[in-house]
Amino acid sequence: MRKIIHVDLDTCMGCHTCELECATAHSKSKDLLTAIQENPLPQHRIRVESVKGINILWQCRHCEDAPCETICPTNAIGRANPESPVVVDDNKCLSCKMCIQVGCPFGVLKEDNADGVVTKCDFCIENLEEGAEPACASGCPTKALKLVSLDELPEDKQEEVGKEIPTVVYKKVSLP
Amino acid sequence: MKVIIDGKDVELQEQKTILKVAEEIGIEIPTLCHHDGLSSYGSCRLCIVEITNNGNTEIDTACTRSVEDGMEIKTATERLTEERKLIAELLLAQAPESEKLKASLSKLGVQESRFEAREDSDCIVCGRCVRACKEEVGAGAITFVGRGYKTKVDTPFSINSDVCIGCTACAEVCPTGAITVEDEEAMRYIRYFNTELELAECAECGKYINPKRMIEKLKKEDFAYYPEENFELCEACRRNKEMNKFADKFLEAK
Repeated sequence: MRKIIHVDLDTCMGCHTCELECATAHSKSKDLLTAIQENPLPQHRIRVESVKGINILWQCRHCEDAPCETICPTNAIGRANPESPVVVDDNKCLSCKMCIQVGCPFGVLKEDNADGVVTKCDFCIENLEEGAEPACASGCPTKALKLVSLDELPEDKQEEVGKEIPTVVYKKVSLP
Repeated sequence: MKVIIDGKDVELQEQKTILKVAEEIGIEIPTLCHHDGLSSYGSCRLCIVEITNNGNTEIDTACTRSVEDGMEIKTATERLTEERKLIAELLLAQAPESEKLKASLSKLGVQESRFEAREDSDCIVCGRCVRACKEEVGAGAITFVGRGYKTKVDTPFSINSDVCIGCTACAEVCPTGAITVEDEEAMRYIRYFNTELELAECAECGKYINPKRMIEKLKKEDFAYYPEENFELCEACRRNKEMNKFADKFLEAK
C-alpha cells in the first residue's frame, strides 16, 4: 500500500515540534530529555521555516529519480525497492559530500555531526515497518503532518500526487 | 553452501566474503582497511580468521576470502587474539601519534607498541584513500609510491595534483586521520598531498563552496542533466530558492 506524508500548510503553526521529534527519533536514547544531553547532539532532518509569512515544512522528497542517488559514487544512497524510501547506508558513505554540495536540489542533506557521513530523512523506516507513523507526523500537535494512504485523500488531491503542487508536500512510500 | 562460523551453522545461496557473512549473523570481526563502499583489499590484516577445510587449518583475512562449502571458521580463538595484537602493534608503530587509530585499536587492548615508531607520517598504507579516489570518485589522483617499508601514499612525483577534484573523501575515510584538509579563503589545501585547489563562490551569498574542478567534472560527466544554476549555489541558497518558489506557488493558489 502506497503511503505519503500529507502536509497541510494552513494547519501548521510553526512550533518546530516535528524538528524535535525527528531529532529525538534519531538519537541514541530516543527520549527527548536524555537526547538533549547527548554529545554530539542528535540532528533533525526536517525543518520548518517561515518564508513570505508561510510556515514551510522542508524535508527529503524521496524523489523518484533522486539526484543524490545518481551522484553517490558508492551507491550508499538508494532504496531497497522502487517504492521504499531513499536512505543512506552509513557504512558505505565515503563522506565525499558531493550529494550535499551539488546533489540535492532542495538542500535537505546534511553532514552528520557524529561521524561525518551524510544524513537525511529516512521516513523513520523502522517505525514504518512496525506500521507506525514517522516521528514528525506522530508528534505534530495540530496534525498538519499526516501519514495517509493515497485513497484516503480527496480525489482532486489524488490526481495531484507526483505533480508539483503548492498545498501539500508529498512523499511516497509503500508499507509492508 | 553450508559453513560453520563460531559454532553457528550458516546456509548461503550466493558467494560472499567471510566478513560479510559474519556481520550478517552478528559476529564482529575487527577491521581497519575494510570499508563497505570500497573494494576488498586485505592490507591491515586485522580481520584474520582461522579456517578449517578438508582437514587443513589456515589463517586468512576475512575481508578477501570468500566462503566455500564445508568451511569451519573461527573468528576469536586465542591464537587469533595474539596474532591480532601483534598486527595492531605493528600498525600502531607506523602511526604512534594517531588518536583515531588508538581508539579503533582499543577494542583489541592495544594502546602502545613495542616496535620502533615511524615518524614521518601517520599513514598505515591501508589503501582506503587510494581506493576511494580511484574506484569511487574516479579521480585517481593518489597512489602508492615507493616500495617495502618506504611505501607511502602520494600524488605522482609528489607535486600539486592536476586531477584531484578536492572532494576530501580521502581524508574522511582515512582510519588514522593522516590526511587533513584546510579551507582558507578561496583555496582548499590538502597539504599531505601537496595539493591545492581553487574554490568556487556561491552566486547568491558569496560563500566558498566546492572546488572549481569538482564542479567542472560533474558538469561534464554523469550529472549533465542537472540544472546549470544549481552548480553555482551553496546548499542553503538552493534551499532558499526552492522554498521561495514553493511559497509563491502556495500564495498564488490561494
